[in-house]
Amino acid sequence: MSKKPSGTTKKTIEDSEFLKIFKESIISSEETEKIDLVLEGQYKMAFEGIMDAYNAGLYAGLIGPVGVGKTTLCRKVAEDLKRGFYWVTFSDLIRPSTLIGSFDPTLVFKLGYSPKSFIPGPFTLACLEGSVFLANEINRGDEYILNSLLDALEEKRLYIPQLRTWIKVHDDFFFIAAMNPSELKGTRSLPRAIKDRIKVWCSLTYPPRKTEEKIVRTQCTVADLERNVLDSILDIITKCRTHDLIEKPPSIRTSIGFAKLIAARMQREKTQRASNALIAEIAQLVLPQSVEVIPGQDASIIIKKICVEVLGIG
Amino acid sequence: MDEINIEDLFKSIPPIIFSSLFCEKMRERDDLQNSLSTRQALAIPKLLVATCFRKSTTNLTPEDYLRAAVITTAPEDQEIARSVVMDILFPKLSMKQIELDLSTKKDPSEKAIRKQPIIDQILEETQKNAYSGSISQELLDGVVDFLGEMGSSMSLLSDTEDPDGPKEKTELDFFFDATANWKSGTQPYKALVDYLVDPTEILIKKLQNLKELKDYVGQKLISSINNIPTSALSAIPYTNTADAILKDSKNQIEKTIAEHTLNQMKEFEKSIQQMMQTNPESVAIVSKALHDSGRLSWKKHTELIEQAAKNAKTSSEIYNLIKNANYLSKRIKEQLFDILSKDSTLTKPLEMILSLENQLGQSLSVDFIKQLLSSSDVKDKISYQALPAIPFYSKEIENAVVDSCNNQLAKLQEKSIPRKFEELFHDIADISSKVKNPYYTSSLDKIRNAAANAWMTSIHSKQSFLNTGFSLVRQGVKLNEQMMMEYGQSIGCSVDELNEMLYTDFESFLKSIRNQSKDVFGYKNSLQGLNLTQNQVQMSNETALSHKNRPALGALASENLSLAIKTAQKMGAEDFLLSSLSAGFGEDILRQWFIFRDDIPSVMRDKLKKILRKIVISTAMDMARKKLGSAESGIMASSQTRPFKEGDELDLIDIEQTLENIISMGKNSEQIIPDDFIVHDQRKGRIALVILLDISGSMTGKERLAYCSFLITMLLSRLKEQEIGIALFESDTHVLLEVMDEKPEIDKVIDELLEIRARGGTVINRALTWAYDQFKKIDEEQLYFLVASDFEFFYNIRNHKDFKGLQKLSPKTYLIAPGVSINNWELKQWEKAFKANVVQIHNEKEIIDTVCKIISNR
Repeated sequence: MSKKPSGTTKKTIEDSEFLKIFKESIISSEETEKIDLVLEGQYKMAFEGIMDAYNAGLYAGLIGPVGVGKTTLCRKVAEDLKRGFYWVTFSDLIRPSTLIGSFDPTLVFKLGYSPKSFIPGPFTLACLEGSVFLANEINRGDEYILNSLLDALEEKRLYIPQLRTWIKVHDDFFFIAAMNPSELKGTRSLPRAIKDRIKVWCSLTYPPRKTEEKIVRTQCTVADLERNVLDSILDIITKCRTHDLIEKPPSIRTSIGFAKLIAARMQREKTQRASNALIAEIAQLVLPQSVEVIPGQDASIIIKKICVEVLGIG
Repeated sequence: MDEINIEDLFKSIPPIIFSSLFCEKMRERDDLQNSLSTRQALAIPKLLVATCFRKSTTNLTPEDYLRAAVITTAPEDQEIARSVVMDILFPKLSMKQIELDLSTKKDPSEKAIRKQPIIDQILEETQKNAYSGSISQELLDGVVDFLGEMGSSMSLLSDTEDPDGPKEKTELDFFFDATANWKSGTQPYKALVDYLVDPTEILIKKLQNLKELKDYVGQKLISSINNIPTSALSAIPYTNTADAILKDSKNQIEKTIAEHTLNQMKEFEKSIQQMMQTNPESVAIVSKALHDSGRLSWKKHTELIEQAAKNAKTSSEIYNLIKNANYLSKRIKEQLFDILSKDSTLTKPLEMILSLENQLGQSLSVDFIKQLLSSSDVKDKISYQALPAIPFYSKEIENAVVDSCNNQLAKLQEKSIPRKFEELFHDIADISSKVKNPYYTSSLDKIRNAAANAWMTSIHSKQSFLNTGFSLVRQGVKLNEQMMMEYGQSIGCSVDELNEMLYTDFESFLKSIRNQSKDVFGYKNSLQGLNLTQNQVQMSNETALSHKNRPALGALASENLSLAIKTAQKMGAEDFLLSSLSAGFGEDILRQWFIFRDDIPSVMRDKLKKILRKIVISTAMDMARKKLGSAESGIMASSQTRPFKEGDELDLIDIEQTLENIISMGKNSEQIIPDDFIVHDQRKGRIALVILLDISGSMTGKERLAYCSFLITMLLSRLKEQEIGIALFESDTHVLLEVMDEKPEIDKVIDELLEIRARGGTVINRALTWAYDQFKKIDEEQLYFLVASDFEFFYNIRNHKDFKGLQKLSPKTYLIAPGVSINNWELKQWEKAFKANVVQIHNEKEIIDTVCKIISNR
């Protein structure tokens, strides 16, 4: 029987109950989530490009700003290929062991370096299972970490140094790299060795309005937003993306969030119509933190001006 | 058995041939950022074969070739790849352009200049504008001109090219026809081409005539049923999609348009009437789409809009209706005005009106205000806050504003809270600076003065009263003298004090020095309002020195250090003067140093520099705390230890610490868990920053040196030495700190700064070389490059030997320029070359805030 902390009125979960809920919540590897992707325009081109790359035995790269749908596209590829999907977002903290795997020191203590004391990382698992591996923001990884992937990509084999063993990469293994276009150059550029092994480069950008409208409708299932409302949302987003003072514009994720929040508010207030005032209010909640403006500018004021231009109300 | 030639299987260009052609043409380009590898040459045919496999056909389309070539090219060169592929697939396009140029040249001796083929320009523009869906007018004019020229030169070309007669129309001809019609707004091309990603889709999809274009757009519309974008609705009548839409769409707008297209007029009328009741804004969308497609006359369109407007209840609904219909009649305008005038404020209605003005290109705000003024019960809504939105002058508006302000003041008088009056005062001052029409300013000044008087008479503390009064009078506020004298005395101010507050004259000032009645800020305020002559300043200095008034002397020295020193020297009171300098206004004194340092006697220089060093350090630390916080960062790994966690490499384990840890817990080998192992945690910091500060310019350079001293001290205290390099430049480059160097003593850096002299002229090239060398020392991490200058270099940055190297490193570049930078052209060149952000500043002090914001916002 677990002790209730003093002063708590909320009922706490019993240990056995927790284990039961935990087991029920585990996502098994057989389960695949249905990916809702608007496959048209650049997304269709990129999807077909990646599928062709897979069939041609080539690895692919996806270049696109944040929130444009790179991960969703890769998941869709994995779903259609009926393969598993692993991904790692690269940063300064990623080490080769994060990708390849590490050894449990206590087991090493007892058993020495052996496959039994080895905890495989996501890259190794993808190589062994023949799954899809997405290296997200790959350019942020240190060169020596990226070098640990080279053998697998080129020679189709992976070396575990402590085991002094080469393991064969599954024929169906597929590698996709994703990165931000603003980081193509400069100190964040991808090392040549990796770049050269990625034969196919698909670029994604903020999609044309027609496509984005479809994406928002597909993702925003809470309520069927009126055309007017969606037009206003997209007008505001469009203006943010072409505004001189906005350095990093809102992503598609933001458009979806914007639409969902309006729909949720309409549901809560039990109203059929979203007024311009409501749209402007939600814009102020969602957008200022979703954009980056040039130093010295105030995002809220810029968003307000955009709302006045589009909605007649700020 | 006959051998099968695999290439024969392909009806279009065989993949290997295409790949070879493509690679050959790409290698001819000298603007590629990455050289073509053999891997790419091999990847293209592989990808094309995979495409055939996916599509179960060997009949590859231009789109397939385009995709294969573009996506196998490195991202930086994909634009070029696209253009090269179009050249391969549609060679006649660029050939015709060249032939036209050569054949129409009047002077054959002129060198034929190869213009960028039109198709390249269209591609470039659509890439840039694909997002907004528009192509520049200039480019489209070029397309039309080209078509016109082609028409007039057709005989010339056909004479040379095709002696047998006119050629069959090709997809190119249709492409040009369609583009020209689209550009001129001719239907159905406008509606159909609008729905494409860009006009080149006609070429890529090999659409040869209008029927094929209609069919293609129709297919796209059908696949978008329920989500057909508003801009594409006018394409419905031109495509055979109405039946499918009626059957499958749940969207009322789409269905209504489909009903009209199929001439189901009864159903259409019913749908429209229903929409009128439930959603009048949608009527405008339907009506406009039908009008644009030519199915509804202007008369019928406007009738529908008028009817819909009658059903609209809120201003937003009418606004949306007008916007969607792009139509505004007198009646609808009156209806809108009527609703807006009921709003409790004026600002929001005016915003809406002005927004409509912009969209429709009609003047509306004048009419709106006139209507408001004609109604007495809305007149009082016209308050000072609405003035910035009113572009024209009207006596009635002015009177209405004054009345409303007087009412507001009267209400505040009841509670008499100084803070409220202060807010009102500042609010009015702020509005006054934003008002578009200057004729309102004098009224606003009167109201502001009234608010100031009310504020003053709500203050109960004598010192607050005097300080506030000083400040207001120096800002040019006209206080009611009688009121101030009466009220001031009632709270204990003497007549002398009140005279000093109200009257900015020299005698009073001297008296205040003798009486030592103010603090340093009070003296500073007085000085700023007085505009003293040189003699008067000298007299003030003498009085301050003789009466040993440190605050007064500190304030005087911050305005003119040189004169203060000379006076002190004459009176043998140098030490007293020096001791007064720390009283306040460190920035001003530092500025004074840079302006007058050559006049300062050598015997005082060292002592003064010591004081200035303290001033710089204390001011900079204070600024650093406020602007940069207490965060520390660095690019060099700094090690700290922590328990092992999954994913850590065993190499990171610190054996000694681990053993110590295990022993201290008294564990045996069976009890050890991963957490017991201690590892080194490598953390990396955040930024690497190279700053170039231009100190040329007789006055601005000296001012800038003062603020740079604070900035540099701040940065040295907050950033690790490895990640910052700073140089000042003018005709020389003065390096203060190099990246990766050992951190210098701040005192030494400040001493160096205090002695830097600009010899005149600005030479940027050495500073750039230095900056490049700094960046080369840093292996990774995000690089920041800040340049603060007037950009009067008269030097082409692209000729610099390290320009390409710097460009390749692509540091995030900020160009900090004074608001009235003379050499805007050069600033633009830098902006373009480095894809830099330009930050305009209005005074040298803003450099500090700007740099801090850049560092904090990364």
